Amino acid sequence: MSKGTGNSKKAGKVWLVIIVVLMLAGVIGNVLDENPEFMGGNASGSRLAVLNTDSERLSDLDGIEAQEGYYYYKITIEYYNSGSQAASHYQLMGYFSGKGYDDIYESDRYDSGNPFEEAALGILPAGKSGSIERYIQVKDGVSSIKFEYFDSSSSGRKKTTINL
Amino acid sequence: MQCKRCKTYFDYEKHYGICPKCAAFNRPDGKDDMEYFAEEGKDRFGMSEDYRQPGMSGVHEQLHDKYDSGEPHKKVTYSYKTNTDEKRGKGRGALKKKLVVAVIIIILAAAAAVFIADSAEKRNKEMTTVKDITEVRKLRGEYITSGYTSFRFDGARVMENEVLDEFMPEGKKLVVVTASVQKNYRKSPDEDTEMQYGSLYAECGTAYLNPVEQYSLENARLEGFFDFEAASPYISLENGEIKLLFVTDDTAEDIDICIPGWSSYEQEGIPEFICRVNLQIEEGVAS
Repeated sequence: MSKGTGNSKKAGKVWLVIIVVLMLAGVIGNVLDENPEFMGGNASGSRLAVLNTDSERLSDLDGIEAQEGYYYYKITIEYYNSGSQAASHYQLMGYFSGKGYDDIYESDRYDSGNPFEEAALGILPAGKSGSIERYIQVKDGVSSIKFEYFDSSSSGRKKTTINL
Repeated sequence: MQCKRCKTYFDYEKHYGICPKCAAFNRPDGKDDMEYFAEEGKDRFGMSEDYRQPGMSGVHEQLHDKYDSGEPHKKVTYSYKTNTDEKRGKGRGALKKKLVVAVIIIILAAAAAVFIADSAEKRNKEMTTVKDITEVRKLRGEYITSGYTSFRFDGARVMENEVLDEFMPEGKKLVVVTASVQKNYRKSPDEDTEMQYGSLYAECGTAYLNPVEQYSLENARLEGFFDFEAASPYISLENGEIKLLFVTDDTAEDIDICIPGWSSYEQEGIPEFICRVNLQIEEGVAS
């Protein structure tokens, strides 16, 4: 009986230590993720920050109407790259998401495999600001969407809310 | 010792603790023993300090004299706790320890949260503050030196090819930029102070463009159409001529080749300057 109690106490202590270690690891991980310069993460890569966003509802896109129950939106995202490397077009495109899985259709996302089409897409060099335009279909009644993009220097996802 | 029941004095050793009068068994009390034997000048086993075992003599006796003359034991005090009291005490102690650990964790987590929020705010401010970069204008044909390498841009021409036209996006044209690279190994490099150049790009109208990359040409099985080596944003070739491909708007008349630069080898943060070479796009030159 007493042995069992002792073992359970020991197990409790072990769990406590594990929880503390995990918490500290999480905190340190967050700090390093938010501050890559601690690990020399600032040395290379792009560092993207969204300066501004804008949305405009369109009646159609080049004469093509959106699918039933959806509207076309032109979303403009202005970035600044404070890193040492250019950000690729795909980095700048990011991803949209809504509360529901079918709130958004990113119909302008495609990869043709044509090297010249790829080269015609813009990049954002280091130390420059610039904007990208995205054309997406958004479900009727949705008032705000999330935009998620990747910052190669911190390897973390960053989210921003866009009001429609 | 005295019997606990009838208070009769009797010899504990002789009667093994059983009272000869009332037959009650008496357990020897350690405290009483100590006090009793201390008063009597005996140890707890009833032995006096000058006790000698019978028949002991000579060296044996001398050794006893030498080693048996220690200080008498300190008085032993006894305290009694029930199992329940002990458990309660231990339980309270453990609870206190857990509370202390929990408070420490909460303080650490709060400090970390404040630190993270503060550093995130600073970083966000730093990342959204647009800084001006010095631009260094270079002329067509002028050498730009970085470490061991010097390079110059000689011109830009439209590349026309019936097969490639099929791959060209609508409203776009393929521009070939020619450059010369020279390696200067006699120069003593000083990586800490030498200007360093990063990957180049083109600025055409409002667009920033990367060169067509070699691997994407290979993926599309188009590398055979080009008699030049690498369409790479990095100038890392040996001496010779390189050609870089850019896909520009059909209406573009000139193109700026931009090379970001740093004064330190680490190339940290945004570039300290950008070398810019403006090239007029010459039309109608077949590959």
